[in-house]
Amino acid sequence: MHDFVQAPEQDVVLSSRVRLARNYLDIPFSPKLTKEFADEVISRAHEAMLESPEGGAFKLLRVSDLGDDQRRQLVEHHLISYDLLKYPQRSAALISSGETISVMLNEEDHLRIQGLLPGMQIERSAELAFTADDALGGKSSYAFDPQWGYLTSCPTNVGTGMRASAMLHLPALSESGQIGAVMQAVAKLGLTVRGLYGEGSEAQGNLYQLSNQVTLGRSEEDVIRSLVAATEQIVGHERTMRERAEKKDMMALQDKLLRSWGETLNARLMSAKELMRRYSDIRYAASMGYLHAPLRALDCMMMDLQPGSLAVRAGKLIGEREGEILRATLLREQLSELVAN
Amino acid sequence: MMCEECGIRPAKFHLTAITGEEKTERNLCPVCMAKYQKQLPGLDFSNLAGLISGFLESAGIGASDVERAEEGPQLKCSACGTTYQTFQKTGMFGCAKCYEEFKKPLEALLMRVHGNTQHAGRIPGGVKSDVSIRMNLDRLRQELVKAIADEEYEEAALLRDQIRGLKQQLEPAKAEEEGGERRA
Repeated sequence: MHDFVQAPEQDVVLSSRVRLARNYLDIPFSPKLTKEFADEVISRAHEAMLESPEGGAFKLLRVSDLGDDQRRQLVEHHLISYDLLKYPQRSAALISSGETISVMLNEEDHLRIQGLLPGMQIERSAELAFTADDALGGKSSYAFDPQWGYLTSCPTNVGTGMRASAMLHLPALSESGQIGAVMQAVAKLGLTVRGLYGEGSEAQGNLYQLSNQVTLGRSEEDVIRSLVAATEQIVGHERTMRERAEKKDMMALQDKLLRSWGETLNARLMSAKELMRRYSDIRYAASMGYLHAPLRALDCMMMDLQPGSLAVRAGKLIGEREGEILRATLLREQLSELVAN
Repeated sequence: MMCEECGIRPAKFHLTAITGEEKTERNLCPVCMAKYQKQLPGLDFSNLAGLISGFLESAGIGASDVERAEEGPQLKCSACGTTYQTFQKTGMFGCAKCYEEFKKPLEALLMRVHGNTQHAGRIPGGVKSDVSIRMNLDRLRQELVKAIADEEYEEAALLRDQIRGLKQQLEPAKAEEEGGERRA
């Protein structure tokens, strides 16, 4: 049984995310954090969360208790970052049952609170993050300065400590070579574009993460407003380019995307990199109505077939070749279930 | 758009290089971008800490008071022992107190990173307000009075500009606030 989630603007926007960086006033920051202080951060956050009305929905996961594959799965599902895994002995995460709120503990900052929702729901994601923020900051004082705002271990996050982002699927803009122009335009608004897994990761599967750069001197509402406006514009451009590609030569577009779909269905080996390419083609085809598939389910499938998630599913460590075979098999099974063309 | 360096590959990067007061902007392809990065000491795009030290260098060279550049590296946080030099290497502070101890060089750095040195968002306790700006205005006004008393007119002029900037930030919020009261 599949969950057919309908989310706003999901033909272009996969998900929305708002992350807040917070530190406790009386505990040293990440570079000077001892094991004792790290444990103090975890117990404070865990207790505060348990006392909040939504507390029961949260599960505490200590990184040291998780296997390599579970760690990677959490990263692939955007619930934690790679950086959290740098210090497995001290780091942990509080994750809500619906996976819409996660709090990373002892990453670069004591708390990294995140609200994550499918589709274009940036404001709602911010509300989720702020609710958790209020619950966690209720009893202990945060490091805060009237001039600098929320103090973070790296001053590039100081101020609101907020990074709001939208994950966008931009196959038509990429194809037309206009991504560079989009990046330049958003840079002028204090926004930046990155690949699927954040800083330094390359753009695979025509997925781009649009987020704010500046955290000091602008209010959260103001930043979110610009991000929403920019996202709406990019969504509009992407749709125009998709329509234009179809108008120009519908047969060629259908041929390209549906051949890719056919090859995927018959593949016996599928690398993680090829998966992203195929996923992009199939998602594009589905959004144009050439295939009938729930987009959200395609996105979940793509995340579940990343190397870490795949290994968790296999229940053991698997080699590269084994992984490619398993990925091709699962992809074939799931696609024939999901897609009707 | 084609790469401004080689002219044969499409430009994929928009590079803004700041050296002192000078700002140069170029559109480059990935190949030339890689070459260009090597020519810029301290500017490593794969590493955020490198980016900060890049900012710091340019902030240091660009700052008219030589003191600021020289004074920075010798500072040390009395609470956690982090030196400014360590911060320049790692891009990370050791505790909340570092922000006070390294205030001077930090102001120049944050101005370059964020284009601003005054928080304008939420404050702890979930209160959405401009309290933060007001608190800082009070502090700046006190510093201004002191600067004038000490006949530090350059400093006073800077403070006056900062106060003016903060007041402007406050005004839209103030207008909204009053509107809200009237409606209520």
